[in-house]
Amino acid sequence: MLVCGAEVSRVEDSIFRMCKGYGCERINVFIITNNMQVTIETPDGEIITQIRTVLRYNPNFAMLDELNNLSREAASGSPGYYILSKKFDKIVTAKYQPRFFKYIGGVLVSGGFSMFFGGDVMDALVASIGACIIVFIERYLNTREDNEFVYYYIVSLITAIATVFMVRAGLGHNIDKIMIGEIMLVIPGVAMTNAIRDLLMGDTGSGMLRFINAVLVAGIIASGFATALLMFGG
Amino acid sequence: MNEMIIPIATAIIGSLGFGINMKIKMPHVIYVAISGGITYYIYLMAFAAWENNFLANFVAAVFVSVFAETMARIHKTPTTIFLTSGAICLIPGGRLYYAMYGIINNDEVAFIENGEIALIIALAIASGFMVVTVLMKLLSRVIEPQKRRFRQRKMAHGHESNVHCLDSTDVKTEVKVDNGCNDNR
Repeated sequence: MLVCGAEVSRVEDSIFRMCKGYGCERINVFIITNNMQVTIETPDGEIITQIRTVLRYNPNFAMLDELNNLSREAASGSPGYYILSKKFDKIVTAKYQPRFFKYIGGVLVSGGFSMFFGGDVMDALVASIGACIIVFIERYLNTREDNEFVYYYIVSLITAIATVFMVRAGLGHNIDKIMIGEIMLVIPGVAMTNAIRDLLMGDTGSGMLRFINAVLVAGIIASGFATALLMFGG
Repeated sequence: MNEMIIPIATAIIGSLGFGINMKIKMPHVIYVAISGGITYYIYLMAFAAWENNFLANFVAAVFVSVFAETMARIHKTPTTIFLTSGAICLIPGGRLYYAMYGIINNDEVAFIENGEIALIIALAIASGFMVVTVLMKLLSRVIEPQKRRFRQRKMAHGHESNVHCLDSTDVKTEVKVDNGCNDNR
């Protein structure tokens, strides 16, 4: 659930409910951005700890929804291990949408927002092409690059260079509007919203960490676009 | 009214695209798109009424938050789903871009002006969320008086079953802390 884009407080709450549903005596949950640990005391007096590391976030709200329902179900009905793991596997491995939907979404975001900030139809078109490039590179880099900052820098740099060349070739009129449309697609909106919500729910530590992370990523994206503009002129 | 149609339509399109990108389920995507449109309409109306960046964004953020909380309660889904995609059209992407552009063109005035407004808008959105979250927490406490967080803390300390709590001093301090919490709420 944490990977799919849930707030820390929701994950903590779900773990707590599930463990309580299974009759644990003592439950301690601690989650920060890339590490979650749970210690429970079973009715027999045995203490169990598990620590998991979370590497990269990959927002998938349909999966989050399903997992949330499953956790509630587990908390109230406490089904057996076999049934639960089967359901979990089904949710995790299910395909939620065909691959080209990601491209459609990207095109809608970039094109929509480049017109939203005052561009014309040509600008929206160029921004849509840029969105396709972004989605393609994100797909390519997803499994190959572990460092988040390098990842976002490469994505924004390549997209910005492509945009500059497309504008040079005579497509599109306002380079600023096109680039704003593309920035809106890569900007970490989910991380930002979750960071604010975490801060407000009382998980100050993870909220601050996520917030700083989101701000840094936004800065990296801006510097990627800035590099392209400096190299090839606006 | 005519010049308002294009921004609202594109806000709807953008929210829809963001929803698809985040893989939201089918009926929910449409609610998200509608909430994006209404949010921007409210923002425009508020901005026309007060000419104030902070207030306009604040009111719009409050609307998104209320909408998201109600929708999440109706459909039994996490609130984040509706909140993130609905508020995306309020994010000051344009201001951030112009601030960045100001840096590389050595134009300090543009950088400071745009960066300041972007910061104000972010603050407004955050405080809009905050108000609604706090109100919702209060409301749910009135409607359903189970104190979840409180119970969690009690479990963490160990209930009657916990060996440490059987020491006399520990029990006393525990009880005192619990009472204090109860009175405060």
